Amino acid sequence: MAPRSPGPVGAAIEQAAAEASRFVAKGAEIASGVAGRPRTELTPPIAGEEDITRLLGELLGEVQDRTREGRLATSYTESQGVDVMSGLVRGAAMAAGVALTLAEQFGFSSLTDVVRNAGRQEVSVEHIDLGQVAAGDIARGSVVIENVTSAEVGPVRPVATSLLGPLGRSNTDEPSYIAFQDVIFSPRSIPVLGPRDAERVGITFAVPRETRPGQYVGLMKTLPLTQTAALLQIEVLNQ
Amino acid sequence: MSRGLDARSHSVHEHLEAYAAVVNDALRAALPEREPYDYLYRLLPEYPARGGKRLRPALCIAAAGAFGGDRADAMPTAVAFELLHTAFMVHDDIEDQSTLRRGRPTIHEQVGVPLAINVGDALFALSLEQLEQNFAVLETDLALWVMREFRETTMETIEGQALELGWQDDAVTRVSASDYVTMVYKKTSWYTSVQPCRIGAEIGSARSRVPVDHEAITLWGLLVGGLFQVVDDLLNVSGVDPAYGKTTCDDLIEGKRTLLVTHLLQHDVPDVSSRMSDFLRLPRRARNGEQVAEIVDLMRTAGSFDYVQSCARCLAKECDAAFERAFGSLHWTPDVDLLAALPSHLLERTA
Repeated sequence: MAPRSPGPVGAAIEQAAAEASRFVAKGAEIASGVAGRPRTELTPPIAGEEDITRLLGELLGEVQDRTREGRLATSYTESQGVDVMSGLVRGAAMAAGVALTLAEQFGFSSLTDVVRNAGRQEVSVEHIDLGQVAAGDIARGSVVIENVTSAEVGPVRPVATSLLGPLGRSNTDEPSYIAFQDVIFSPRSIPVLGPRDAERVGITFAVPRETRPGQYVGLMKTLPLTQTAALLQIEVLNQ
Repeated sequence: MSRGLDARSHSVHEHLEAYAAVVNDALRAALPEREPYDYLYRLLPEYPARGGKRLRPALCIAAAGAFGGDRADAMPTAVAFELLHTAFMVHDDIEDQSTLRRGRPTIHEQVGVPLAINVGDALFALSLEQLEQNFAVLETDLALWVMREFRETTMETIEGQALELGWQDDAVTRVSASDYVTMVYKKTSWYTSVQPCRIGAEIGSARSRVPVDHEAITLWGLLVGGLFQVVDDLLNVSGVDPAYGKTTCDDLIEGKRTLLVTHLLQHDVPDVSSRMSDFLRLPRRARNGEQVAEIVDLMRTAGSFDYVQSCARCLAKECDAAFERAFGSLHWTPDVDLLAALPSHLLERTA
């Protein structure tokens, strides 16, 4: 006996299964494309990558010159300066993001303005250790350093957490990459301290993922703290 | 419906309500009250105040929690998705010439099209303001990534809308089921489920370092969005719940290419498909209730409702399979439970 052909309802149900398969096949095709655009492929949102790379190259040329002339902190050697430069150029997209946020934080009108001005300032940096990170701090995700005064940390301004990533997040990941390898620069909430602030305050640091117990929490004090000097300092530290 | 499914759907409902309460607070804070008040700021909270499931922000927050993050980290992005959704609704209502939204007159019905367009623009701008707040709570590269993905999401949705509107304008009747899938993924899935979950997961992972399988989440999100839309297509024609809040059958009046419509268009009885085509070729103002009733009868006879209902059930099963790959390895929490039970909830929804 020949099989009965399904009625409208039966046929519709058979068709539905095929339709669902179509959804899955099309979805799988789209999803495989999404897997190929991870976060690391960021492009600068406000300028072409070439432009950013060129501007950062100019900035880092200044860093290299100053390193050679001994005008940066003694911790940075010439070879490290070169590494920093090449690393920054490779990481231009990320640095552009940092600069973009800094532009807002420090009142620059544009990214170009930030980068161009950054290379023209005299910079002097001083490192201040504030404390060591314990395992409990890492579990909590933050560490609070109590009883800090403006005299200890100098005039600092609040900046976004992510601007000051863990020092030594180098491309090579070698422990000796930068002298302050084990110091974390990642203040989550820094009160606005002026030169006349005398009260003692606490500073909360976000503990980055890469943190290990025993690492130091610290600040880089910039003397004098200028908008552009801060940028230059942070750009270097982020590499 | 089994009792287990009912209980699970009820649980999803409670979950969504809990998230909606938190999101509503943040949403109120995101909508300023200043001049020009009457012409703009008074109108911004109009749609959010009418309720809504807050599905997109809930998914974003739940995904962040499911991946071990702090839900608060996802809040600006969650609110941004809700504002984007609201902006789309205001503009959609104009494009579709809808008169009702959640049971009350649409914004353009209240204040006219020009001011309503402006309200939609403002809501979109305010969604970007939320994303700027991410720079204070997320790492910079993550905050930038969220911005980029949000922009991509917006464009996907706009492209999907362009397809739907273009097909209507040009009276296109050769819309295959495959075309429908493409349009629905673009118009609905990206901003409803794919990106809220994918971005939420990445935000959660930033703290926990639990790896995110973007491909798996994307597939799950596409299917969930597809399910959402298929059920919506069905509700628009057969919905009887007053909470649905739209004009019943307005999809047909507007000439939208829903799954019910594509089923009739592809029907192997020429008379059936040609009657559907003829209806779609009519100018909108020429379509009336009598013709719509005739098309609905035709759908019933041709098994279109059974087809779409079966399709929804199959999709829900596919969602469950995709869930295992996207979230199956996560520690079981209420957030994971919400994501797991969502397809069943969508399948059973009546509004």
